[in-house]
Amino acid sequence: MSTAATADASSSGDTTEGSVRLLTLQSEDGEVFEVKETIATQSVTIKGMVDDDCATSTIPVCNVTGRTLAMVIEWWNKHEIGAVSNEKELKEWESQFDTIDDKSDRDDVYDLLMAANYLNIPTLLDCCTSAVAEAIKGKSTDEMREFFDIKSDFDEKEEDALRKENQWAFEN
Amino acid sequence: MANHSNSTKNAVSFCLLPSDLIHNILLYLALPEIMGMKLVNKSISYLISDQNFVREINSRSKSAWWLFVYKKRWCRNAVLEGFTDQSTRWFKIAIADLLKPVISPFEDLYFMTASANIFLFASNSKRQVFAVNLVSKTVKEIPASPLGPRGTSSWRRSGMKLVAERERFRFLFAELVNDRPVLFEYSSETNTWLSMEAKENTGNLPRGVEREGDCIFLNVTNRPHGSVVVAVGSQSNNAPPVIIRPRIDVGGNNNNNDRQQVAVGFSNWGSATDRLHVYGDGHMVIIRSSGVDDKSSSEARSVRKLRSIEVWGLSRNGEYWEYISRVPSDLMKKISKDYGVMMGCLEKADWEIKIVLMSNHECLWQMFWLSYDMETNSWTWIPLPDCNMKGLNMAGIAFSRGLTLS
Repeated sequence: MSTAATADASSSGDTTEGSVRLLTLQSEDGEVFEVKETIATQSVTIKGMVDDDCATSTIPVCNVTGRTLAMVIEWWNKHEIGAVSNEKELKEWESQFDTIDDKSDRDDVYDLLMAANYLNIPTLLDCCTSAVAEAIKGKSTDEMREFFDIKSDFDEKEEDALRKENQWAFEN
Repeated sequence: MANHSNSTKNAVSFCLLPSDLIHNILLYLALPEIMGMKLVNKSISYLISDQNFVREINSRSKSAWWLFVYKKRWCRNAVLEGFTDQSTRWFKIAIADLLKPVISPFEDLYFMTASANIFLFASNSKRQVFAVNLVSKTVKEIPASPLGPRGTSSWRRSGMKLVAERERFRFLFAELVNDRPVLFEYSSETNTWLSMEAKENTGNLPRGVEREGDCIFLNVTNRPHGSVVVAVGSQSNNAPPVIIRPRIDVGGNNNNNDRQQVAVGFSNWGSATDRLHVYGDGHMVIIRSSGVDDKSSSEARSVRKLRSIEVWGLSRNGEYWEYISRVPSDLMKKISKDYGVMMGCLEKADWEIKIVLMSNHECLWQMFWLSYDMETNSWTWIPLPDCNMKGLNMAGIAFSRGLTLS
């Protein structure tokens, strides 16, 4: 990007901090966040907007609440190149996503999944997807229902038919 | 993750996630877990039945490895269990209801081998082989081979191979008949056996020996200093099978560094108990061990300690077994425990060699799964959860790939 273009962008409401451009993101519920462009472009969606020069004013992040967006930004900060000195530290930080036994943690992961999907953040998407999968592993159907807080809408006949269909898997 | 609790919150639940996200989550799971998810509720069941998703799961399953163990206390409560490295637990594979109409619960069954959705069992009393298809939920009685009905003890693991694709399968085994290696092949399509006498290797190995994926190797005899192997193209094209007679040339007076290194520290050459060979798919693992105590009292000799595990393969011309790699010492430290007896099983596919070794020490079973990647020359240890073998007998163990959803 040329200097002229940067100056242009700041005059139209953008701010710069040193040589790093800041982007303004607004959550669905109106919270406003200023994020370094270099960090926010971990989102393929935002990177596309920046590349197309559409990121010059406030970027509305629909479907993502301020609460979730704050978590997404925390993720970006940790995953900025050079932010964490080693891979081990990053893995340790990421390990908070490993246990989602609490309902509130679970809800956070669903929200983050939706946000990661909407903003197209591959690393966050993979992490949350595998966190949910890890939590399902080893659970029986009843345990899965309890875990997801889902009531079965099958009648006995339908459930029996499904069990018969994949008979071999149901002695666990 | 709970620092931001003072602002508004979406109420997303699992079922409200977009279907592609749910599909991505399910792709991390083992098949029985996916089937379990299907019973959670109608909307998830509908997502799992999606044709594209089923296709994706089935295509991934083709290369997913399973380890199956058939264990029993009495024949009445035999259990088939499977483990895949996609999960962290053993899954019971419910076959009793399938077998019930065909095989009396008192029948003494032995699990021989598996491929894709097909599992082969041999009945000792009926001297017959049965093929159980988990997906079509059928049990097929395989007619006796040209060698006649046989009991479970006549079958040797390294001498047989099951190749299954969807409903169809071929079951091959090689055996000495009047001192000549003969290949027997059963095809489920024709429900008949073919037998073919193998030809001596006159330097023209089947093309597949160079391109290993195209060849099936069946061991006819395994002796400490060499084997007789029958090689046959993996596509049934009536090309005659070829006899290969690879020698084991360890610690001989050659200059090969690898082989000399292998021989170091090995003084009891020729003593069968110090060297266990496990064969499969044109490869071999040599497990070296020694008595825990150097005093050669019979008691000390009965406890053994693992020294090394090496994988060997057939040389290009098939004339000898060639050293490929050995389990690195840091990995050996993790798996090396005292044991009394050991058995093992080896399968190879797509440049991956899977080895399971089972040892028994004072009635306790230990089982470990090792994986060797031929492309990256790297070993991995896949920890197995406890299989609860205490007091049970092992009635068959096998690796398999390609168990599918439908």
